[in-house]
Amino acid sequence: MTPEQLLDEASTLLHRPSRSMRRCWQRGCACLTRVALEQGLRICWDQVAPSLIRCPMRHQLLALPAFVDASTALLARTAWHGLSRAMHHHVYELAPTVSELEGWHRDVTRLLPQLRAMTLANNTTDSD
Amino acid sequence: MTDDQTGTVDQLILDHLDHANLPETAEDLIIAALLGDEDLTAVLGGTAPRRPEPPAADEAASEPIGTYLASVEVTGFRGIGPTATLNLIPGPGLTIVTGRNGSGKSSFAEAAEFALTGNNKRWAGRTAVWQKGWRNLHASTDPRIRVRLGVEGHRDGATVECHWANDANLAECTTFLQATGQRRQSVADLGWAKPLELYRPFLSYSELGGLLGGKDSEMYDSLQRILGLGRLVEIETMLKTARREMDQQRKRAAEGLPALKAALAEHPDPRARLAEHALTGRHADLDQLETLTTSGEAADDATVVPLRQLDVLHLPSHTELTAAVEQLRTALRQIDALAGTPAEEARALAGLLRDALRHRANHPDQPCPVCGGRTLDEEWAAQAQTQLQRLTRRAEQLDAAHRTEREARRALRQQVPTLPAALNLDLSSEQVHTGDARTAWQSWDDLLATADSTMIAETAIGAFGALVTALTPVQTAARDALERRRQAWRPVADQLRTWIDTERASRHAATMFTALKTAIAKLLEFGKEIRADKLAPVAAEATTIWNTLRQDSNVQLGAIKLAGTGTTRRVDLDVEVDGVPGAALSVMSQGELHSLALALFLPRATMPESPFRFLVIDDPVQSMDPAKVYGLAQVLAQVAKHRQVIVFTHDDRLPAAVRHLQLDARILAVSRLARSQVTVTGDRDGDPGQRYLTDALAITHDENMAGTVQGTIVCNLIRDALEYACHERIRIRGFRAGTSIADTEAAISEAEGLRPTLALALLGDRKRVGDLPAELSKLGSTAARVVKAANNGSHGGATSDLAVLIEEARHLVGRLCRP
Repeated sequence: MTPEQLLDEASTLLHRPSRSMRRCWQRGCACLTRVALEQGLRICWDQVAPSLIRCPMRHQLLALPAFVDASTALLARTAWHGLSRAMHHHVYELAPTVSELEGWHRDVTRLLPQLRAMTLANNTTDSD
Repeated sequence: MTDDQTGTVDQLILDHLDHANLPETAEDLIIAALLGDEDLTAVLGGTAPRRPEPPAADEAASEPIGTYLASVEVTGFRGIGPTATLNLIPGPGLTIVTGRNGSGKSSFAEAAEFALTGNNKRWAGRTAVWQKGWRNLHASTDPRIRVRLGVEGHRDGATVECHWANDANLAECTTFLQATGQRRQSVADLGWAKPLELYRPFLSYSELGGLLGGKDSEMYDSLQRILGLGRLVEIETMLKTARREMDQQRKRAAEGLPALKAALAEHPDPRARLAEHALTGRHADLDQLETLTTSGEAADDATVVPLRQLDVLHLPSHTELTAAVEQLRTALRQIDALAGTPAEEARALAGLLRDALRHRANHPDQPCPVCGGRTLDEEWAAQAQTQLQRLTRRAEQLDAAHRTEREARRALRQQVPTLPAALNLDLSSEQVHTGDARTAWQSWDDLLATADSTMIAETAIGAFGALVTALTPVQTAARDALERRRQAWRPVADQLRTWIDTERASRHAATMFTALKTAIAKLLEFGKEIRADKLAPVAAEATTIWNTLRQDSNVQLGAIKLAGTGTTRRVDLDVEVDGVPGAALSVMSQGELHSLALALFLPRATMPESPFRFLVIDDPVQSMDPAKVYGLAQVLAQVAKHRQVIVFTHDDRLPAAVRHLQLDARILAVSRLARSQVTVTGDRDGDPGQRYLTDALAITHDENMAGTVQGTIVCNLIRDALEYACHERIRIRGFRAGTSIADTEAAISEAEGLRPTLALALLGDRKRVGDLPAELSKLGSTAARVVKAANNGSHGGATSDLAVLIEEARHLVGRLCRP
């Protein structure tokens, strides 16, 4: 699935959750959004620095400022850390709200074109 | 600072007045109010107002000297036993102090707040238990708080110290301020009382709740104070008080009128009638009334005139009269003595003798031509001469005696006037009985009218005595009657006079009241505009902060307005929930309210007029959604670009957000050992510089990552770490050198790129990049290599060298951080 398709799925889950997902649509949505973000990064790394694909997301995010401007990197970091927190079950924290999920969804939607633009601007530097 | 604000508001009002086209009196009143109570009273009294002096131009935009916190040292206070110190970097930047509940982190915040403000919002208004428990049980020495301040433009800063004697209460502390190298001063000398109230740079969790939880009017007042608009209220209040006074004053005459009219109606004096007449109609004739109060008696009164005439009657004294009578008597005695020689006869005989003597002189020694007898010889001539002289003298004496008699009678007549007309009137209604006096006086007049001087001489004294005896009671009675009338009128006259004064004042007050009404209406209008103008930037900032903070909360904050007046004053927050406008604060959750309060508080504490360049926020994270914590971290980092922000928090969410977002924030950890021993340590990766390097190290351990990518990322992170360390070094050195923060920040942003930044940090000049290698070599043999790698984004060596490079960078960052 392309990142955009994943985002569509997440959006569907967010606004019209199926019966079976009634109890976990928030985390499902967060998960799909995060996967979309990771997928977008993966596509980008594939062109720019393939070795990063296999790295932990934390490292990928650390690497991001080397390729994109600071605000894009910050956007990615905010969304990813937020989504990670939301998609995992925490003993003392409740599921994220609709508006929070919408916010992350919006951020990722905004992020994908910026990553693609970065891909086009950079030649492959990875010699691996 | 406060004067500046006062001046600003005053100037704004004057500017508005220029275009307002107010009636002159109303304008005068507003100007007088600007000048103060005394001037207002004077203008209300009718004096022409002074004009305020135009403010000096240079005092307009001066910012106060900024103050930062350099450290907070606490001994034996609340959770802290033996001395513990929280070291801070005086200058803009975000510091997060973490610590578990009861670790003593809040004690630092409270201690700083107490030392600087003499109070603490968290305990204010609490019960004695809170006030008493401030002393730490484990302290071996007396409690002490020492807050070192970094003062902008001053090399060494100042210290505020606060200590207590052995058994003193919380309030009984000794606080003093000491600028390094100078003698101790009172903290009041800082002139912080007003700014502390306005821009209070301390905010605790409970206070955040109270900010919006309180009454509408309280929030209005606090916002108004922040905006420096308290002055507007002050002037409004002044004018309103005056209006109330004028309102009472203008009614006072009307209130006093019935009593006055009643008093006049009861009074028999004809002046009362005149006064009553003058009082009819819409506007009383004050001039006429005034004449009535000043006129002694009613001029046209038929009884008063004779009474006054009687009063002024003057009779000669007994001695004077006796002297005149005695003169008369003497004259009469002389006439008696000369009796038998009527004067005419004597005079005729003398004439005859004189002729005979003349004849004899012409024809001597001839017989008398009349009788023909005796010869008129020498002897005869001698006899006749003697006779002639005797006769002439007697005639003269008699003439003189008669003259004296006439004069004496005239004198008597003049001494006592003829019967005055007043005595002929019937004045018995005034208890003046004139009958006896009239009779006595008539007898006197009759007596003097007789031709018989002898009778006059004999009875005049008796008659005069009778006259005096009869007249004296009449005069006394007349005088009494007059006095009675005066006595009866005086209180009414006084009352009338008082009322006239009141009426005059009331008429004046009525005009002033109208003018004041116009003035107040206009001022409220100005106030609205000035408020809107002043509030706009703060409101905009609050809205921006809220939008960052809310992180997709469904609550949207629009315009903030100060609305209403008097008791209905309130802050209108234009809050939209799910796009539905007009929703009230009540639909917001506690966490959202806290965030909103924070959004309102941050602009307050970061006003350019505030001398406090630091902000201490105690536990803002509580009851915030995780997503909001990210927003908060961003907001705080934003504020920290220009302010020193110190945040105390009890959990890891904020530090985590800071780490995830790679924000430049120092993280300190407070921990508490047994017996209240509190320590402050740099958290693991508390320093952003070290944090970048830790991240870099993690990258090198990633076996999946291509070496070139690793190199790029690591070098990027090392560059970030170096730049952060440089910035801190520049700030600290700049501060110590007394450079203003604004200049320092400008220099930092001018130095673009790593090398200029390093040059600025190490050599104080971003242009001295050429001297950099020599300077770097002083910081260690590898420093140049690290900088080169960080600058190029690659180090050109093997991947295995990266770890070494990071270690070298750590060393360099460490050296840079110790300026």
